Amino acid sequence: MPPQLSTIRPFTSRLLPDFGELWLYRELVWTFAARDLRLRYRQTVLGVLWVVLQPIIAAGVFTVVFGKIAKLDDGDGRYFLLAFAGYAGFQVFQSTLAKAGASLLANAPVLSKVYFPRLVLPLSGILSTLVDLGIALLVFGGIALLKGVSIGWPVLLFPLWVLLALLLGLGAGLIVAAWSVRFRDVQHVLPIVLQLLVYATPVGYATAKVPAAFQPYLALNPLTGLMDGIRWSLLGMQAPSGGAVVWLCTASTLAVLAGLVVFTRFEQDLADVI
Amino acid sequence: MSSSQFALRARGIGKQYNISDHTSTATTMAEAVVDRLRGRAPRDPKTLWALDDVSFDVEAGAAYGIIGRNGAGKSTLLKILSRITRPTRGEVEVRGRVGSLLEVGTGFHPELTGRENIFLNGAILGMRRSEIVRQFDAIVAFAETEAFLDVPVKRYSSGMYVRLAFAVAAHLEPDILIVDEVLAVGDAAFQKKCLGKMGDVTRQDGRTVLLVSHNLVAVTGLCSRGMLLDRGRLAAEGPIGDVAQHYLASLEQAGHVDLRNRADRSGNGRIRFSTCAVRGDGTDGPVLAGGGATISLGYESASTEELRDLHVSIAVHGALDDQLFHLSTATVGGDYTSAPAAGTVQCRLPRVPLQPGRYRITVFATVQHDIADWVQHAGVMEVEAGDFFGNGRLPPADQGPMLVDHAWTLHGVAP
Repeated sequence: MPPQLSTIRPFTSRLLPDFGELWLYRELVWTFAARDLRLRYRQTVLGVLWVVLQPIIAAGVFTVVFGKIAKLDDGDGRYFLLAFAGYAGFQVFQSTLAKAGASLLANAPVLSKVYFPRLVLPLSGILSTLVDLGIALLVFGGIALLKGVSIGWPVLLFPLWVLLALLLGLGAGLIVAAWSVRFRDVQHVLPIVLQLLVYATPVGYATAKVPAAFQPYLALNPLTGLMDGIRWSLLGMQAPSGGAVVWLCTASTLAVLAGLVVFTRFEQDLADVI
Repeated sequence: MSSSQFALRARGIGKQYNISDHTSTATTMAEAVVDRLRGRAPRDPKTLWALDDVSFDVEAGAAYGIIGRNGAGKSTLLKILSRITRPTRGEVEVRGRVGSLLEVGTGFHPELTGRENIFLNGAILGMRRSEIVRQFDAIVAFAETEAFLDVPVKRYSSGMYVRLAFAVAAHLEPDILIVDEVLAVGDAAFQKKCLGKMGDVTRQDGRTVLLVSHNLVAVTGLCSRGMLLDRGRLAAEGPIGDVAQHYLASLEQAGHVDLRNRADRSGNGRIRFSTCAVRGDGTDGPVLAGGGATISLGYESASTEELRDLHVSIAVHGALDDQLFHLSTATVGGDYTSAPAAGTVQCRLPRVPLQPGRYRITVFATVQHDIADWVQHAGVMEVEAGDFFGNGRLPPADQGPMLVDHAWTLHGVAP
């Protein structure tokens, strides 16, 4: 087999990444993902137990704050599960965004010494997000079984919601990753934005409980459709409206396209800026 | 050379860097927004051509050396060839898979074990998992770290760490291997082993190796052709012996630094150091470990008035900017009670007590006990391998930079 001929050229105006090349580096995505999973719980006392505890604690807090103190709980004994499903779904979006967003700066030393398609790094964060989700779902399933929640056919659409959450998170994360190398401010602003987003999204409460006056604003947030979809699939709650689903799909697709374009443009200059 | 034989063919490559300091480029969004509002596009960026119009061919299966002083553009060239950064101009045609080794242990994580790091580092350097599995035993044997495979590398000695990292890299099997300075690490025996391995790579496996190093012995021993870069331009290209001669000739000037334009200095300015030059004994100038060297500091002052109580000292710093020793007119010879307004102070080291490497020199002067001038990193002393102990041997490079005369005796205890 004769060696492949390639050419190194100055800056190109390519819009989207070279997916063929990315495919050649698929093992590296896996390797980085495995590294991050290994490192995350090494030298922690409770280890993997943290993955279980995080959603339980978060759902518990939401149940107390929104369910009991704000009195949104109907008393059907399912508020904890409602908050748990919301948190787990939001986490898919948020953790994909945060991991992708931090991936370039966190690996700066490697980026200035070796070439590989830079997209490998933000993509590698998805695996540990999915591992977390899997564990959270096991916990959820256990509690749902105890509470006697019956799970119907809408659960088959659950992977679709996960995919949409991933795309939305990845798209935003790619933009954050590119911008945060150029402007370190982004790192400081992002946690605040995400914190606000937790409250502006029906994570700890049901969409139906929001006063009618605020519903139009809530509908602007594509994550609202995501929360409703997840609760429909997992808890048999009211299905999201067709409009909300279309908006969520559109927003996710646009986010990923915008993310890829911004990232691809920026990638070429990366080593000179980081 | 026929066109089917090249591994790399570079035509007119140039790389421009923006060297504006932080105060003149927007690094926060607020600054960028303000700039945009004022209708001011990127604030008058200062640029530098780190590489300018460099063209060369590397034959497939050859070992090619790249030499030049620091800042000559060697690293930039390697970064372009290994696709880490893009050229501003020009093109490089590449035949085959490129593996680059710009440092040892790229991506090594201290918390991971030796075994985990072999897989991580191998993958980052472009090896497939199946390749790493196949080469695993050879890597471990080469590194001589079998016993520590399942220990986090943060518990490794620096020597072990480097051996493991190099072992992974040495088992890369790209068509073109790009290596930067990595031979400057590890003990002498291990360096030799690495050089041997790289020689094998070209001779037996027919792969192409590009080597950048300050170690002229390594470059001339391994490579057949090469280039000399000087301030981003191709200063010489051809058989490695000729290129090395050019380099040695340029070293004479290399140790000579003009300090007049340095703004980062302190002191009242009663005198200013104008030049800092380091020269080894002998005709071609390099400073050898154990050889003699002279540090010459030119100084000037604004007035023609004679100086009273001139004190001069020199601090020599190692690779990590750790100060190694201090040379001072106060400790040896005595401060000058009077001195001309301009001149040259020379400090002679009869036997340079340093391992091969790159050392930085900070210069300091007081006039009438007030600090007159103080320039950090005013000059550089490049020390090449030499015969400090008179037996041709030097301690392992990772055992510290200083060479100290010593003698051993052993006395038995009567039973």
